[in-house]
Amino acid sequence: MSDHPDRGRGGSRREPGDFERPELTPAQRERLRRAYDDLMALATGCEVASVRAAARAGLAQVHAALNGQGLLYELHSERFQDPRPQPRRPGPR
Amino acid sequence: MPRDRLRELQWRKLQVALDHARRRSPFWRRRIPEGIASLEEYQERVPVLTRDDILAAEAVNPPYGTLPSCRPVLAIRHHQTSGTSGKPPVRTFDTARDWAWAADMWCTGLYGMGIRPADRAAVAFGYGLFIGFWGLHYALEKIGVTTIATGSFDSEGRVRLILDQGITVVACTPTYAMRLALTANAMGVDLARDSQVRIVVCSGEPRPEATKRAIAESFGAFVGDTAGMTEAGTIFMFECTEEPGGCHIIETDFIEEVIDPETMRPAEYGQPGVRVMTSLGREGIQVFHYWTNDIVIRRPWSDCGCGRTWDWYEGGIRGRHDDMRKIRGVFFMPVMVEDVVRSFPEIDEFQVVLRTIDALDTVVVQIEPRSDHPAERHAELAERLRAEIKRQISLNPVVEIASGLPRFELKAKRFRDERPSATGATT
Repeated sequence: MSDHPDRGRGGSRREPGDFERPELTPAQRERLRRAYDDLMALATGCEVASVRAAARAGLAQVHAALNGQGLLYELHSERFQDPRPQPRRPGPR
Repeated sequence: MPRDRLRELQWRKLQVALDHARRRSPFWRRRIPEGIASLEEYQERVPVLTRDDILAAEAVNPPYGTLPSCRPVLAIRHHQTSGTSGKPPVRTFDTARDWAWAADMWCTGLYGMGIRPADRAAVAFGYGLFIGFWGLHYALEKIGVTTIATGSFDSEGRVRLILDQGITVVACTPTYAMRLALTANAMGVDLARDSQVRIVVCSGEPRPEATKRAIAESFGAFVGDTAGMTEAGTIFMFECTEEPGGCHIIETDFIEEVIDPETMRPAEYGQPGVRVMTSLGREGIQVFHYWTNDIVIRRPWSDCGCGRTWDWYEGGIRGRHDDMRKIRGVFFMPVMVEDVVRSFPEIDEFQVVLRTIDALDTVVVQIEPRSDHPAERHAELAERLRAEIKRQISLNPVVEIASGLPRFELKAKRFRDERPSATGATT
């Protein structure tokens, strides 16, 4: 038998009205926005494929955080252009 | 967030989404009128979208047709429905942004159920083309949960894994949760006693209260319901730990209307109607004013004590509008039978069939008793079930004992309409 204290109760049951509502500080909001702007610059302008890929993945996550906090809602992916064309399919040798 | 600010947020997002759709999607450019000035005007002027509309748009130039509002080359994922209804599948894609949002919606639901980074989760899902629990998997990882994909496991293997790995969260369809509990029982394992599972996340099917109770008792765990759809790319509602008897709508990212299918006017709180969904989340495949066919009953947020200001659907998804039938003057949905059947632990599996018998529309319930239930008591079991169904839903069914009924991991199909007038509907 598990001795987990929250077993069978969803793990976070509270009294009505006691819902936890932590909020970002103004400084944290600013950091989050800045992170988005920095990642956007790399996602759209960086020629190094690995950095560009990481920036796009990170940008998506940071956008989800901004959206979740009601701070930013953008439909941004059409800004992405791959700076180099896709390599040609190798032909038969 | 107060309700008035929530409406403002919805309207702000909707304006961005409509503008994006009109500029980039040939399909939406034709359907969304210019100059929509308010949420109310949006609901009045944008036509209802049906699944057939989506299929027709996709058929123009498969796989995605005229629908996308982004170049499909920006997709990082493709998903599609099973197509088991006989129609072509609905195909969809997600950009990286969309997929992060989809996982975030799941995070909202899972965190609201009490899932935390210290948990260890087993995801009982086939990991194929169907979107199913993919988003849940990514959300668990994002929360920080140790996540185990059990796609290749059989039921016995999953039960062993639950015990050996100290699993605290199981995610699967309600049908499969019942199957796991029965499998464990046959292995001599009492999951409520022997496992550490504290939360079972259910999704993928309507889940009557009797099924929830049976799963909760079998696992000794909180059972949280969620629902999503391929067209939305994620979940739009979840059950919080207050268990108000239904699921909160994630109203920051979905605008949900409930429409009376008879009058096509908004249904009041507490009245059943069809869910019409607008997703504010995606940039690639957008969905506005979508007639989902899901039957729901909306309740105000204040009827739940959890503190969220999001309205909720009593009983989650109650059934499918296209499964609703009028049998001898009584409105009938197959899920009503499930609610009764699940209160009979002696029954392992069942099917509901509508047949014309002696010129009368008749509900036939085929049941397969558990293997440890003595054969000499099958007739008595069938009679008790018949009487209980008649008592609860005012229809007198024919109950048949069957064997070898199909088992399901996803999207259980337990309903057939075999009447000559039917179009072969199954679910």
